[in-house]
Amino acid sequence: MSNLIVTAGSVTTAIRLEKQLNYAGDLNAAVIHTPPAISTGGCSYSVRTSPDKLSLIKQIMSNKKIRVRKFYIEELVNGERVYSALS
Amino acid sequence: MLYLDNAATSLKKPPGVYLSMMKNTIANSANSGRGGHFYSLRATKKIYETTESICKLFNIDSIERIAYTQNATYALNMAILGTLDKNSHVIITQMEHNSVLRPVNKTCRYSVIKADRHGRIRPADILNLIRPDTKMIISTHASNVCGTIMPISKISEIAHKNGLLFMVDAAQTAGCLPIDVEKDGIDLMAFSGHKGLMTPMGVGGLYVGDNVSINPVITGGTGSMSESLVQPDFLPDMLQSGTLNAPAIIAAKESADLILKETPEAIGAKEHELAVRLINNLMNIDNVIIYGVGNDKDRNGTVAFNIRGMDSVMCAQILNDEYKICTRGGWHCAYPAHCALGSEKTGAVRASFGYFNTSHDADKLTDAIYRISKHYKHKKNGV
Ligand SMILES: Cc1ncc(COP(=O)(O)O)c(C=O)c1O
Repeated sequence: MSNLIVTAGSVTTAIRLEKQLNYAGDLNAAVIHTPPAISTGGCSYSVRTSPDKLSLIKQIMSNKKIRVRKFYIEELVNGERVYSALS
Repeated sequence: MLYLDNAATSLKKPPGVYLSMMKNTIANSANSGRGGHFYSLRATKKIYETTESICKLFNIDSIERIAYTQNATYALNMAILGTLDKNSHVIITQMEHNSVLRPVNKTCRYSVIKADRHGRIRPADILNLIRPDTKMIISTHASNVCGTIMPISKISEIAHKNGLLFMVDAAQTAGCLPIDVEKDGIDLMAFSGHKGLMTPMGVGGLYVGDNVSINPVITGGTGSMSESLVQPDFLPDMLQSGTLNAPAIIAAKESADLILKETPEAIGAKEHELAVRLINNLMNIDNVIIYGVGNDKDRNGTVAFNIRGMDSVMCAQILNDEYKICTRGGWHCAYPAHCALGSEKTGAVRASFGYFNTSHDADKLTDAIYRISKHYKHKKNGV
């Protein structure tokens, strides 16, 4: 399992991103509460989607002027979810 | 009862609003933007859909730029207190409602663009009022007293040529006049849901343009950045603390979509037609005074009038008690507007048409006014 997590902060921005990704790219995106491991300590919202179309995702975000915070890859390692930031 | 107080609130809502309100009170009363569970996200997505419709209505390109409030008053206070302070100067029109006048009066220095007897302002007059410390111009889109429509595009042009922000109070016009934040050059806009947008009570909002820097007045829980003692700096969270009225906001999509389908132009034209019909009728009654622009184009569906010499509150009371017609007498939270119109001593009777009114309603009010005025004249003359 491997997912792309895009952290958005506001739930409104997260939903906007989810809609645009599903509409434009059929990317099976879903809003989630940002996992604690990558949140800055409190609550925020992110979008979980497929990692293989990162450049399309970035293009959609740029076209639609959606500002997000960071990108992470979520993987299952020995039954635990592990996150690594993309630069 | 015949309801003619749509400038205060639209009494009737489209049937879809009632159904949605009930359905979503049951299905979507979880706390939107709090947590990541199914019900919370479902309510949030429904709210988002309403915001999409509202953005379409006002040609707003970024959904984050609308923050929900419970009414226009809160939105206006958020904007005024969040952008101005005691060192700033603002220009307002004489036709403003107390929800602009009072927060401006308590927050900053201000000058007033005078209105004439018809409630019209001359945009060129603004130039004389601009000072080095002027930051913003605020105008209502239409007078809540007499329905005069303000030339907002022209005001915006002057504001932007002089490096000022332009805020519109669209309480009277959202849903029943076309509004395009881009074309009309609007930087901030407050709107009510419960009037022309025909939403349930408890829905309003503030649009904040991307050139506006605003400080939050109300701070608290936003469901984001909970670890921080500082309010989030991103919209809408920055301006949207506390639990939203989810079922009412969700139900607002029903009326917003209906308005989009019928268009605000068409709804406004119908309300204008009803106002003109009433005015033309009232002009045939010799002791009735009509305020505002008469049957000209720059008016909406709100008409202010008096029976000469008769107290406006008393007239509205008689209309209610004896003719079963709901109007509003008095000063309508806008005393300076009455000073411009010449009704500062008496106030005025205000009849305001909405989406559900018909020409029959205008005629019924005319008939009642005719009878009251005859009776009053006779009584005064001791007949
Ligand atoms: C011009 C104008 N501005 C603001 C308001 C305040 O609206 P709300 O009742 O939604 O706070 C009103 C209400 O009558 C109004 O007519």
